[in-house]
Amino acid sequence: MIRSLTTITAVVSAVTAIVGLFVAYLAYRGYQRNESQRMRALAFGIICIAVLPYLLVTVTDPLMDVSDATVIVIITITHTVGLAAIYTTFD
Amino acid sequence: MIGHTYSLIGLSLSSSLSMRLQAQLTEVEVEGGAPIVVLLGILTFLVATVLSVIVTYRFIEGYRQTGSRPILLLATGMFFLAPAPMFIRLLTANIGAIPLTVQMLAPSLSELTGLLVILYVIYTRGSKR
Repeated sequence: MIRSLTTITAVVSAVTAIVGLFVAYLAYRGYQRNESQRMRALAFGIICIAVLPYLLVTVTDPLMDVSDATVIVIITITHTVGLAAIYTTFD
Repeated sequence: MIGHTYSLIGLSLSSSLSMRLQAQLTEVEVEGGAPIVVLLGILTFLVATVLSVIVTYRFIEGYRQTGSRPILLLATGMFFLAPAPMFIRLLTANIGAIPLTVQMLAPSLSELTGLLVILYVIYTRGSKR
């Protein structure tokens, strides 16, 4: 049961990244249509929160010799950058 | 290993925080990397969590000002996408009975839920402010 749970987790993580990419694309299209800064920031933020961390973990974890803590720091900073971008669109 | 890193956030946070209460940082043995990096991880995690709560709250404020339902949905999506996974990671990592895979699965499911809600808003409303 644990093995299938691991597979489910991997699938859900991948699906989350893919859906995130799609939602970011839609948000960016919304920005292009309405020149809404909020939409562009949302697109950037979603990439930073849902897509980049997945890529970082999948690509760097097995390939590069960085400690887990370093990866966590990089991912969390990516989160923060995306959130900060969204935050700046509020006045 | 995919997602294994995410659970270390909560584990590093809970174990390192409790250990820091007992010993100086230089004497602390933390897993996953050098103590200074783990501390940096804790700090950035806290900053990200606070920021995610603030951003979600801003969306809720926007809904209260305009009464616009799409903004409420956007706020809900943001909640599941950003702050909820952080709190889930923190919580599940501190409860020993929860297996590692669940610790990784739960935040991902929350993110996915948030994304689907946001997807619904953008897709059905088209133009949003």
